[in-house]
Amino acid sequence: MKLYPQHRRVDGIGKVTGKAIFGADQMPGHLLYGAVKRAGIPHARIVRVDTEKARNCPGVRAVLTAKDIPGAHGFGIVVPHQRVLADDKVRYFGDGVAAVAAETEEQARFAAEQIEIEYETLPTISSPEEALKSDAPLVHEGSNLAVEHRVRHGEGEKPPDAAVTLERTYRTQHAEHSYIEPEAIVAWPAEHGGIVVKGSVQNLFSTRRSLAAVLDLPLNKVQVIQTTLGGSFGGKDEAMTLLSCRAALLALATGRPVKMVNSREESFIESYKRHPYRLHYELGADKDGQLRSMQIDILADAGAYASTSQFVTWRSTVQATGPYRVPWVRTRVRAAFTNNNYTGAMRGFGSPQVNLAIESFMDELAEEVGKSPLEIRRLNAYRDGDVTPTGQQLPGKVTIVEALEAVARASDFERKWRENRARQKEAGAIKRGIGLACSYRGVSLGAEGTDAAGTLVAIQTDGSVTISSGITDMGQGAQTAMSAVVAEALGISLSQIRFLNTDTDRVPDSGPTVASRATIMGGSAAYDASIALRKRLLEFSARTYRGDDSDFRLEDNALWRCDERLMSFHEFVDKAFASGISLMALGWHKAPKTTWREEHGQGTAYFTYVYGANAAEIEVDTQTGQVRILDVWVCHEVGRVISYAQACGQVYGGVVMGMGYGLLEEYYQEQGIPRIKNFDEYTLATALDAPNIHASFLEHPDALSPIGAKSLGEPATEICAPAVLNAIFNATGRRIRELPASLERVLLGRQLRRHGIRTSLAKEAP
Amino acid sequence: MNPRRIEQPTTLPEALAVLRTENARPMAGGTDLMIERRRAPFDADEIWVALGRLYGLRNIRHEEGWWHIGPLVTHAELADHSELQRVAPFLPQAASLVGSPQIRAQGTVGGNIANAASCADTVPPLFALDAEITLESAGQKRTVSLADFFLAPYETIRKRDELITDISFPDLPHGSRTAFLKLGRRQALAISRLSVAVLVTGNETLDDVRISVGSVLPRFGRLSEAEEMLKGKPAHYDLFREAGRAGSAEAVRIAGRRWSTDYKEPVLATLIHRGLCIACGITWE
Ligand SMILES: Cc1cc2nc3c(=O)[nH]c(=O)nc-3n(C[C@H](O)[C@H](O)[C@H](O)COP(=O)(O)OP(=O)(O)OC[C@H]3O[C@@H](n4cnc5c(N)ncnc54)[C@H](O)[C@@H]3O)c2cc1C
Repeated sequence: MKLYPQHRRVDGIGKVTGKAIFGADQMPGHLLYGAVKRAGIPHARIVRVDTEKARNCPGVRAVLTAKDIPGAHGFGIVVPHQRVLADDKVRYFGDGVAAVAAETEEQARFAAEQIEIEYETLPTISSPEEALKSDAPLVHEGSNLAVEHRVRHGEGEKPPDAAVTLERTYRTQHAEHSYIEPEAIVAWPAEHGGIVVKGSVQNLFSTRRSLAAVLDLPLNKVQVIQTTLGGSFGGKDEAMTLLSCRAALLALATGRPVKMVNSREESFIESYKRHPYRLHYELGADKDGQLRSMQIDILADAGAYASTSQFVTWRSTVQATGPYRVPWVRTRVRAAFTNNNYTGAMRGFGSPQVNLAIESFMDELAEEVGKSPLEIRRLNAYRDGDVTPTGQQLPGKVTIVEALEAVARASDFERKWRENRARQKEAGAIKRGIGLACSYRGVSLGAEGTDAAGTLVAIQTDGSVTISSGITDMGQGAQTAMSAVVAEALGISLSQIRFLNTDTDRVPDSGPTVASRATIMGGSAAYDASIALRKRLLEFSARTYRGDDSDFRLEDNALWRCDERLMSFHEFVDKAFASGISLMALGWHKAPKTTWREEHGQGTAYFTYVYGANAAEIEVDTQTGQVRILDVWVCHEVGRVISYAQACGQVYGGVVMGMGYGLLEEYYQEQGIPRIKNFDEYTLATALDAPNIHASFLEHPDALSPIGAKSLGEPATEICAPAVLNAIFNATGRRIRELPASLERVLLGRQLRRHGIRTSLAKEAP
Repeated sequence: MNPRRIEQPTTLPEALAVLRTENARPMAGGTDLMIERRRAPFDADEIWVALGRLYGLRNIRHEEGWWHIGPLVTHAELADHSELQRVAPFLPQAASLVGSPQIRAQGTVGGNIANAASCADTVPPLFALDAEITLESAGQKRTVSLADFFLAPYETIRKRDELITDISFPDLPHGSRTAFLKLGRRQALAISRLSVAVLVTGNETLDDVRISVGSVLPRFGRLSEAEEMLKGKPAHYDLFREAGRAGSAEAVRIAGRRWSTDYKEPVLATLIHRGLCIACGITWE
């Protein structure tokens, strides 16, 4: 396959001209607006819900509580206990208790506020450490321990003797996805019974399953359609299921379309976050720094509901030791329920936390044994054929050293690292630092679940093409990637392709669009469909124009016989159609098998892996704690680059997201009460903060992927933060082990907390 | 969020007349007002008096030894004012560091002052310029110093029906140099964690020194002890370092210790030091 150096996004023009239709843009006739009454307290038993006043408010058409739900009250991919509307208890500040539909948004919101709820307050569990105390009150029946995974690798009960031992604890924070488009949905009763739900949904098939269970409907009566998504980063799964179920209930209760759109504040307090982790690492190494053993104990805050904690922490378990050979490993990862926002999928999915820890830890080991960060990684990094702590021999080419060397060379790492170190003690407030970090990452879902996807390619009689897929685009560019694969296989230009937003009635269930699987899974399915079509068409041409199949090819929007251009693609497909050839094909791709045995955490966790490295050069103002990231050098091995521009886009966005995680972002709750509810204080990196980013890619087309490509979306964001923290150490000689590396942490070594909420408007003189 | 009514007067007397109505509230750029009002969606009895058409309140002029800045001058306009960039560079500079291009295009100096957030970026330089504020209501007009205008964060002496109609300051003493430093968590759209405005006069020795700070004091003000210890002395790196420490100690004494003091105390000292160095052309690093 040849490489497409640059192409336009198939969805780009609509987005930049304002013509794309997002969830909140939908305006069907007879619309009602929905609003939610939320708990506003972190933990309480519901004694009584009085909706009388709300029902009598102007414009109100329905007020619903859990009692009005015809089917299941709860949903959840692992444990179906997240309530659509709370029935017995509220378990976090953002839990919804009742929903209202009214003629206007203001009326709906006003009425929701009139709902009176009597609570019996319960003690708040504000951290996983508290949750696991023996006398801790329970968030759910049973136990506060939500998940526990272990990995056991290497013989013997005790770690092998080692000349050097090291023990450190790192912490990470709650992070918000910060999609630019808050959650939005419109639901309406379907023509022949059932429901249609259309909006900013990431994982349409999981949302559909939950809707069917909650509404007590068969799957074929629940249609979920995606509008153009304004970002997701893993965040529009359960958050959208919740909104969809509430809107659907209101729509069925009123017989009218109901629109629900979260305000930014609602989105902050209700939606799930990235798991905060406490990571305790111990290692044993030879005196030259060769790793002998690692013991890892991780505790994550699952928040109020199970969500995807099971899988997020599982990925952490597999990747906790980083891309290094360690003969003896014991890893335990637990997550506990608390009364904080529930935590779930977010770009990286359990990797940014462990990468932060292991990559800081490797630098600390380097320091201990007197090596440079590059040397310690060279010494320990995986090579071809190495075996991971889960007992899996790494398939194909292992390129971690190649990636490391690439960023080290491009950034002149060794020289700068030594010079900065020498300057630490010199006078001057502004210090430079450079830091390194790398990772390996399992591609797609792995042993998490069924891994297969379908893409439908339909050539029209004028030569234009539509593609639709069970894999969704959320802004990451999946549509363009899949289109590029089809364009290449059919020899047509990208401009001839239109990609349709996903509709559960029209495409096969392809699992969730998560785990950086869109290109490899959706793209491989698109490839499967395109080559089926190509084969069909070339057979037809061989029959019609006499010759061997192999004499014909599709290229440059035309049919060719050897070097002779026979006719345009348009003419050709028109003829084929006239002869009764089907111009549509469904492609299907199933990932290679994975295996897992939970007890000792052993198995073929993922069918293949990607490798990557970052080097970050920064400036620290040692008198104010300000850190400026100047340059980041990035190298990822991705199998094959499908679209260079988009690959760079993933890297740029990933690095900036990673730097926000490293330096700026924190969703902070005080005793279960959110203290940050908007972007005034949830500080994302802005365009002015973004460093120069130098992206490069290594290509070793992967035999386990039909299109050669692997993953990039999550790798691109998971190692920037540790590279920056390592750079801060290089600049200052002081190590920060907690995220974010805020002004206060950099200057004082600890975080300071404001109590209460910031206000911002003048009062007048009396 | 919607008020019951928005009025758009085209003359000042008209505006002042509407402001006499109960629940009327001036709106300039709306960049503070709109955001805060979203938090109380049904406090909807308010009448917003949009000032945008009072074009006479949107210019910068120089008259008889005084600069006059109309309250409706936007941050972008102030930042781009070439004459002020020359005579009092720290003021346009402070305006250029407000929010983002969108906020600077929309937000006004009058709104920045009237809102009285302790992090308002144009206030510290105006303080150092000994600025005065003219307040007008139907039939009344008063001019007060900035020092008298602010009472506490988000509280001023402005009565509900009063408009700020002028912000003025006298010509700077001959040979004045200025500096403004803003410290935020990021490079744009940053609420000032700290800001410092410095104005110094004098050649061999410092004749006059004015240091005012944002985001630290319960009401805006200058740090007179630090100012006094510098007057009559020659500019020097070490002296400025001492002044930074003294100024910071003074600020903490006035403000009391808060959750953020452990951070702000040393950093304020640094910023004062750097501000003085920059104003006097001494490298601070
Ligand atoms: C994203 C964002 C970033 C921001 N960043 C910064 C920043 O970096 N630095 C900073 O200092 N501020 C910042 N702000 C705050 C705000 O933009 C400024 O304070 C701005 O100057 C306010 O002016 P305005 O014209 O928009 O005021 P408005 O919102 O219209 O009014 C604010 C208050 O002043 C009153 N008022 C306005 N004009 C008059 C008048 N002429 N007479 C009497 N009362 C009046 C109003 O009634 C209201 O109480 C930011 C705001 C946002 C939304």
